[in-house]
Amino acid sequence: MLLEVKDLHASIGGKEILKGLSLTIKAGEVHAIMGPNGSGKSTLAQILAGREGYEVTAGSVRYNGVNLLDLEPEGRAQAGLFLGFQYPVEIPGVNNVYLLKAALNARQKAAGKPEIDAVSFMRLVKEKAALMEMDQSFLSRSVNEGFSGGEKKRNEIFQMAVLEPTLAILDETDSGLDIDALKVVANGVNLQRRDDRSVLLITHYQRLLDYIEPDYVHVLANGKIIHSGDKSLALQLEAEGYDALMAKAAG
Amino acid sequence: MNLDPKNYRAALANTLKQDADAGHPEWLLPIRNKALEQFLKQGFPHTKLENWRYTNLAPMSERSNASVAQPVAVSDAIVPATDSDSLMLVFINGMFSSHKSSHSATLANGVVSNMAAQLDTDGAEDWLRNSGDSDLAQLNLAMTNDGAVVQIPDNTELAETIHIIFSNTAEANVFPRVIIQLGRNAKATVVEHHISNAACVSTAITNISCGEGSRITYQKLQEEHAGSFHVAAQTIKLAKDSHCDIVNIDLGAAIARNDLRILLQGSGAAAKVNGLFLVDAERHADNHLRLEHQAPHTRSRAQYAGVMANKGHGVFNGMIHVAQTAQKTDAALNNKNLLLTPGAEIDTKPELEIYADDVKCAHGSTTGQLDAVSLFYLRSRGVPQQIARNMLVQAFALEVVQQLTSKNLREYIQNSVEQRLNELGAVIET
Repeated sequence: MLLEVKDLHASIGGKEILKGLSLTIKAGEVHAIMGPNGSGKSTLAQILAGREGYEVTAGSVRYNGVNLLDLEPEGRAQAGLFLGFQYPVEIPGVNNVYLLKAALNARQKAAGKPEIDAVSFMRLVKEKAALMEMDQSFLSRSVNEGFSGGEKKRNEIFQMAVLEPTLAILDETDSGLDIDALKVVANGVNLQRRDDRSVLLITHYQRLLDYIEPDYVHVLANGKIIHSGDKSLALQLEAEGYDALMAKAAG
Repeated sequence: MNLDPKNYRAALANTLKQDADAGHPEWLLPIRNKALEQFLKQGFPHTKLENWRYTNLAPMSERSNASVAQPVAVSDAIVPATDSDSLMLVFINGMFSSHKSSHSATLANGVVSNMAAQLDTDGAEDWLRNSGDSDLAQLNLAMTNDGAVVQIPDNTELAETIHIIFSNTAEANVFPRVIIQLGRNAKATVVEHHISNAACVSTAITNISCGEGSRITYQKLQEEHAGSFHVAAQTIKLAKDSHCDIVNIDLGAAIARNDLRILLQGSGAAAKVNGLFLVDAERHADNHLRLEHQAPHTRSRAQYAGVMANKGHGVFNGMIHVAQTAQKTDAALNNKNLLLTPGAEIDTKPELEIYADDVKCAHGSTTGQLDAVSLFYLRSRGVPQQIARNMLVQAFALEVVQQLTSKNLREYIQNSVEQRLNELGAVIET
């Protein structure tokens, strides 16, 4: 078991957002969590990545046999967790490549391995940029500064490719993308699918799942997973809408 | 603050003896005597003066009083790396070091030289006497041993950067002086770099005058030893259509005070100023900036960035002053600050004083902490919190550092900033 979320309750500013969420992801699986706005999708992603400000009031999250909630955000990343942001942050003055090098070296250090040498690093970075059809000039630019919406999302998946996570949580990676950008991003994710890498896709629309085929689809509403199924569930949702499922769950 | 006049007169006697030994002109003696008496009458500025409200020079006064007349032991000096093609003027404990300096410029009708070698030239009395009206200018005038003189003739561009280094090795009292004069349409880049590896007391005066249509790039870097006192003042006069591009980086000293005064005296004159001060440990850095628009169609852009940590105390006072005749002035002044720890402090006051009615002036100040979302983003990539914080502070500082024209100097200062942040990281608990 790679990730095991059990009966997770979490609140922010006293308001409960997650109300008993459970989810299990095995190595190599791709899961999609779908749900209406405000259902708690992004909160789940933020809590798993270690964002401050959320209070976990009950439940547990185990990742690779450890209590994930005990780890600092950097510790989670070093343990192989990656969060693709819904709104990637612009950080003027911090160079893209510099960030990746610091991130990779921190992971190497945490694993008791030596720092990656400059030549191998640049080779890796250039190879992954080519994979994401990214212009080399992006590498030396400040993190996301002045990037278009599509470029930002592409940069997220590029970072994922370089950091090679064990579990990638992609939060609304499809939002704000036109169809061409979506194809590039989805293709980037597909190329990274491996038996020892799991992906948790968080999305509002079924559209992304046309391009990245999930093994499982879950519907999140009101802070709980109310329904799980295979990829056909996404199509059913697209046809019937969330309301029908939520009514069924309530009834 | 009690000054002991006896000590200062003894120090002056030493200076006058050096003047005599060096064969300096006789006009120096009355000027120095008068300047010292004036200084002794005023003493060091005190915190009851509005201009010095936040900066208490009592510790500097005390040290100066005790050590001003003491001889200085010379040891190995730090000479920071410069561009290989720059013209270097190096001063160790206030004295010109010809063997550490690079060749003098072979400039037709121009001068790039140490000051002592220029005192017997025409006009020397004027440029030395004209010390500006900063509070310690008279002390500097009385005591200054040496410094740099840069005179660029009309229509001449100096390709090489002039790198003036004031390096102090011992607990010295130094009084550096820099004189820069640009003729019409002349162009030069000057770096004034203060650095020390022992606690020193430095009172530095720089006067820059820019002829019509000239361009000066002037970059002052202050990296004095953590036990040092550094009080410096620069006056920059801009004639018609002349431009100055200034970088002022303040990283060292226990107490640092910098007064930068820019007078836009001719129409079309323009000033660009980028300042950075990084104040950690129990350091104190006070930056005063005055932009005096005295002619129509003048333009200024000033931006100061402050980083405060631990018990560091930063002060920024920036003033845009627009005279009645300076219609169509276009001025903007901004100070933004980062407070990295709860004990750190900034007192910031951007001010406008406008006597003309058709101007465009803006001023502002912001103070905040590191952006939490950016910090989380970096950490979510695996970057440890302390390194992520440093990356963000360096990015903040970079806006100013990248204004430095020399790549070597940019890297050098980036390293200095990084080193200070690393030292800081050991102190800040995560």
